[in-house]
Amino acid sequence: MKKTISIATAMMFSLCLTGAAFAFHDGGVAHCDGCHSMHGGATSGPALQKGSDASSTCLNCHNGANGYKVSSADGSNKNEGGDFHWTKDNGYTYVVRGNTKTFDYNKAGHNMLAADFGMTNDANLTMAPGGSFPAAGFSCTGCHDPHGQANGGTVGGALPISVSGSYGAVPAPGTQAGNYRILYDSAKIGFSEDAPIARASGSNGASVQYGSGMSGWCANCHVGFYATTSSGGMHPVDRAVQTTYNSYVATGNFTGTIANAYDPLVPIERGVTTASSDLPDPTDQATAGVGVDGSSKVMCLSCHRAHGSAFGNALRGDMSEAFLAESWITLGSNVPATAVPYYKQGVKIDVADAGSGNPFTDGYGEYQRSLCNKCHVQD
Amino acid sequence: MFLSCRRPCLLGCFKSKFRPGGEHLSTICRGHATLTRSILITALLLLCQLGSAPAAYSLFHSGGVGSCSGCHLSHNPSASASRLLRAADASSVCLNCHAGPGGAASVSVFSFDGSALTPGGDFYWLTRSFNWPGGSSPAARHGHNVIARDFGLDADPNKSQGPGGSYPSGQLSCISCHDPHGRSGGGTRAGAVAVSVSGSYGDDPAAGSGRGNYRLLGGVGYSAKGYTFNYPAPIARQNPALPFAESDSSHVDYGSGMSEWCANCHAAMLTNKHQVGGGGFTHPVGANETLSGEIIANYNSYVKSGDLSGSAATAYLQFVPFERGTSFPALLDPTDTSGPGGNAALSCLTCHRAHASAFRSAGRWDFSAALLVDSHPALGDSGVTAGDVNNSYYRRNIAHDFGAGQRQFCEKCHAAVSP
Repeated sequence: MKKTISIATAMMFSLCLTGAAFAFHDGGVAHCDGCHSMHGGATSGPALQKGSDASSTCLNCHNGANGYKVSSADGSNKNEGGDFHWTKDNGYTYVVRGNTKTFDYNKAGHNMLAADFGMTNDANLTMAPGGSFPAAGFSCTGCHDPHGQANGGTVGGALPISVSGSYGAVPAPGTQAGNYRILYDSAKIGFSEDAPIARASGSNGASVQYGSGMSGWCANCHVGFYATTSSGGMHPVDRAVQTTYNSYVATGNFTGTIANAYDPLVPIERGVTTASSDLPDPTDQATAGVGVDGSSKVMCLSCHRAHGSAFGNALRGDMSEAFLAESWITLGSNVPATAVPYYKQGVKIDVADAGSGNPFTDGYGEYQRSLCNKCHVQD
Repeated sequence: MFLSCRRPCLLGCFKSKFRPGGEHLSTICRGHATLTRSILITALLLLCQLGSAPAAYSLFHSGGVGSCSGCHLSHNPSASASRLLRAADASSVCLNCHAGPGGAASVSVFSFDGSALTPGGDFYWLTRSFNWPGGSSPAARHGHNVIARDFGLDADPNKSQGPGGSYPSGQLSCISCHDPHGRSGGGTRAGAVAVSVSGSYGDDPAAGSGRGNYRLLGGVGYSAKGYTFNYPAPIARQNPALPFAESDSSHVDYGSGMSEWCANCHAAMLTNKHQVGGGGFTHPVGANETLSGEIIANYNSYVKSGDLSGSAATAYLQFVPFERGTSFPALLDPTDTSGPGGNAALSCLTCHRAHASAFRSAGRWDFSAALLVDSHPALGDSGVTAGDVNNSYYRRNIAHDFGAGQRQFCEKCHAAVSP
C-alpha cells in the first residue's frame, strides 16, 4: 500500500512539474462546472455561469498577475497578450508641460464587460474600429470560444481535440489540436477567417512565436483595417517585412544579423501555415531569435497587443513621445511603480538600458526612438 | 510612481545644458536619480507643477524624428495622402501643429493675421496681396510658396523652378527644406550617432549621441522628391527662452553655412562676385564673403540713417542679421547684442526671411521703398489691414525707432550716404 502511495505521489509531482496542473482547457472545452453551476448558488450570470457575465466567469480564474492571469491590479502582467489592467478605470493621470492629463483607458485595449471585476465596455466607441462588432457587451468570448471548438466542433463533424493548439503539441492520430488560444475559427457565425497559427511558451504567454493568419483573424471584427497595401490609408499587413529588421538593433545600432534579430516588441509571423508544432520553441533563442526572411510577414500584433497595454491603441510602445524612454508613465504619472509597461520574454525591461544589445531580451538605450524604426529606419 | 531621469541633471551631471523651454521632467540623470529619487521627488513634482519645463514646442521633435504617430496614422480610411500621412500632403501635416495664432511661445509659422513673428517669417503673407496706386505686392511674391492643400496654400503661380536653381516649385513643401525625420549626418542608417538633443538651441548632446540639425534642416545627401542636397545644414542657435520670437536682444545667432545651405536649391545665387552689366545684380554671400573692416565698422556704428553714433556692443539689428563665422554653437549667443567681428559674414538671411515676409522677395524690409516709412503694406493699400502694417516690421514703428528719414537697411552695412 505504501509503495502504491509513493508511486502515485511521484506521478502527481511529475504532473505538476510538467505543468499539467494548469491544463484546465486542454485545448478544447474544459470541465463544464469550471464555468457553470448546475444549481445556482452564487450564480447570477446567464447560462448558469459562475460569473454575472462571460468575462467575469473567465476572470474568476484569470484575474490577477502572473501565470495564466491576464488582469492584474497594478499593470504588472508580462504576457504577450497584455494586461487588461490598463483597460480599467484606474484614475491614472500624468503631467505634460505642467498640465495634468488623464490616461484614457478606453484606448488601452479591448474593453471587456466584466461587471464582477469592475470592467466596462468602451465608452468611446459603439462598434469595433473597422467593423461592426458591437462594443456593448463585448467580452472574452468575443474572441475566445469558451467551449474551445475547432473546425466546428465534433457536432460539426470535426475530430475530437486531444491537445492544446497553443504550445506546439502534436495531436494523437484520429484527433486534432485545438485552436491557438481557443480562438474562434471560421465555423463561428460571423467569422470568415480561421484561427491563427502560433506557439506560446506556456500558459503564462511569456513569449510567442507567430506563424500565420493573425491579421486575417483580427479582420473578423476589424475588416476595414485589413489591407495588404497602404493605398487605402491603412498600414499593410501580411506583407513581407523590411529586411532592415535584421540589422536594426536600436537607434544608431545596426549590428544585428538574421541569426539574432527577432525582437519580441516587434514580432512578426514566420509564414508557418501548418501547425503550432512547426514553429520554434518561443524560449529557444537559437531558433526563436532568428530574424526575418522572405516568408516573414508583418501583422497586427507586430505593433499591438491583443488584450491591452500601457499605451494608446494597445500598442507595444508609446507612440506619442519621441523617445521610447519618455512614455507618459514617466511624466509624473500616478501609475504604481510595480507596473511593467515594457517587457520581453515575460521579464520587465528598461528600454533606456541597451544591455548587451540582444534584441531578444534587452532594452535599447536612452535615446531610442519609436520601434517603427525597426522596419522603417528614419531615426 | 515613475519619474523621468533624462538629460539635464540638477545635480550638475549635465549630459546637456538645461533648456528652460526644453524637455519635460528633464531634471536628473539616471545615476543620480537612483540615489536621490526619494529626496528629490517632491522638488521635481513641484518644478513640474510650476511649469519649469513648460514648452509645448520642444518636445515633439526632440532634435530628430518625433513620434511616428504625430505625422502618420496607421489606420486612416479617410486618408487622401500617401505614406499614411495625417493630412493631404507633407506641409499640411506640419501645419496641423504649426498653424495658428502667433506668439512668443507659439509654434505657429502660419497665422491668420501675420502674428507669427518668427525669425523665419509667417506664411500668412503668402495669402495677402497688396495694391496701391502705381504698385503692388502680390501674395505669391512674399516667400516660399509651399504647397499645403489642407490650408489653402498652392504652388508658386509665377515660377516653375527655384530662382537660381532647378527645384520644381510644384513640389515645394516644408520637407523640401526640413527633414521630417530629423536626421543628422545622414541618419543612423548612414552611421550617424543617435540624436539626443535639438540642434536649434545650442544643447550639448550626451556622450555617444549627437545633436540634430538646426531646425531639422536637411543636410548633405538629404533628398526630397528626388532632389538631393550638397551642402550641410547651417550652424545657428536660437534662444530657448523665446524660441519663436525675434528682437535685437533675442534672435537667432547665426554661425555659418546658411548661404551655402540655401544654395542647395538656389545655387546660382551663391557667388562671390557682383554680377552687373548684362546680368542681374546678385549680392555676394557665403562663408567666403566675410565682412570687410569697413563693412564691420559701418554696421557697428550705424544706428539709423544719419546716425553713426553706435557702438559694437549694441549694434545688432534684427532686420540685418549676419553670421558670426563659427561652426561651434557654443560660441553663439542668441542674446548677444553686439555687432559683427572679424569672422562675420553676410548670408541670404541678412536680407531675406526663410519662410515669408510682408514684402516682396521675402525681404526683411521693403526693398522698393526709398524711405522705409513709405513701405508697403501701408494703410490705405488695397487688401491691407492695420495688423498687416503693424506686423510687417515685427511690431516696430519705423518712424519712432528709426525716424521718418530712415532709408533702406542696406545702409547698416553700406552707410556712406546720409539722408
